[in-house]
Amino acid sequence: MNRYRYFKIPLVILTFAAIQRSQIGTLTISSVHPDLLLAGTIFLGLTEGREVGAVVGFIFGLFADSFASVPFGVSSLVYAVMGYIAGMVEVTTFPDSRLVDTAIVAITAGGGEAFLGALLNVLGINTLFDQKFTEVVLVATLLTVVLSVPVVPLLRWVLAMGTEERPPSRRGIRD
Amino acid sequence: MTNSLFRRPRITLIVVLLVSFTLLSVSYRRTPSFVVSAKGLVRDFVTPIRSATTDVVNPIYNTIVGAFDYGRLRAQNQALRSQILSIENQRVANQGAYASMTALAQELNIKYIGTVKSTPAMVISITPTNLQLSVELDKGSSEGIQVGNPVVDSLGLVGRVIQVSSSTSTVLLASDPNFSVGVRFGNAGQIGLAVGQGSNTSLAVQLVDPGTILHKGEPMFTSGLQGEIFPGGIPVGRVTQAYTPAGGLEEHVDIAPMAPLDNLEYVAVLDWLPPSS
Repeated sequence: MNRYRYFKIPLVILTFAAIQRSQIGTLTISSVHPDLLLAGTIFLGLTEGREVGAVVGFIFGLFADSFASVPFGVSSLVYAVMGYIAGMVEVTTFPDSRLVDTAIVAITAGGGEAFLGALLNVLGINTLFDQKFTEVVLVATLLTVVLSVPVVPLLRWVLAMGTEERPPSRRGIRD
Repeated sequence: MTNSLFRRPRITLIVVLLVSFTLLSVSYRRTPSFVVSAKGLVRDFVTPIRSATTDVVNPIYNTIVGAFDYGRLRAQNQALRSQILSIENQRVANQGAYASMTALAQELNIKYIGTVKSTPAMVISITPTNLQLSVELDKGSSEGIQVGNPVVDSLGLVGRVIQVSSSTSTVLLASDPNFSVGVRFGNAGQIGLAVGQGSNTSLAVQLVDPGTILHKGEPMFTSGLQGEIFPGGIPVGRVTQAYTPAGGLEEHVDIAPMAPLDNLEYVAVLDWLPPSS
């Protein structure tokens, strides 16, 4: 890993957190907020691999739980799993295409929201998911997918800047 | 060759999952004080970053919203102007009644909203999460705000404080599905329980006897009964519909919140806690 990446990834994390806390994060479609923290987790998992995805998901999850009156650790559990799953693309031989990236984003974003809603329900915590589960999952997934179209290539470019050792795609890196 | 389970990415995942499970299990029943402190620290750390980001993002956001929403903003502006005029007229008319009521409340030693001290605060953000409906205020524990304090605006009940850091506080809105408040209505002072049902929807009033006569537009106020978490007399909402469902054991009642919960700007945090606190 290029030494600049140690600085770039925390900066990307801070940027996502700051944007989520800005007025952009408060925008709603049908009373559903975009989940930029889950989106950031998935995007970083997709571009940086499973390990970064899991750690970033954990950090973003703790951040999300700090602003809600839900038990600490619920979101970090879900986000870490989703970051890891998104990063599993590095051990697959899927073709390196935007369509595949979009499909992975859609599956992990939808799965993440559904997993979060189900976990909160199992824990007996009353949230908006109880009122409009399908709406929250669909809208948050759609917004994440739309956001991924410009952000994933941008992230790849930003994180690869100043390094020549990293391949443009992480597909096929087997452990 | 190392077992594939113990490759580094998997170990990392297992570690973060174990930490998450541990945090979840210690904070599930009752949030420990170190978690409360950690949450407060995160919020205090983020506040200046949020302000800086807002300064950068707001002009772009306002341009986009202004460009696509000009007509609605103009209509809203006109509606607000006429509302200000009507409120000003009402304020003048209410001055005399308010003075009499405050004197009477003091004489009878009744804890009414008019006799409770309050801290004005500005809504700085809607909490950007789908987990709860809440807003953040620009005042925190340094201004004397405590968890459990009721929050009102000029029209009625807004919610209650659920988290406090030194410089900000989070208010659970009355529309949140976790919110409930005892209400009183009618000349006979009947009571019920108003429960939030989500954004842009009415509050449901439960435990109302079937056949209770309720008129559309009838106001409901916090009951202030013993053990209630709000003082009595705060306007909560107005009846939008009431009917007895076939075979129902209670009246189906919906009320529209008095306070504009989706469009809050300035609120007052009441320096009041339930007697048991």
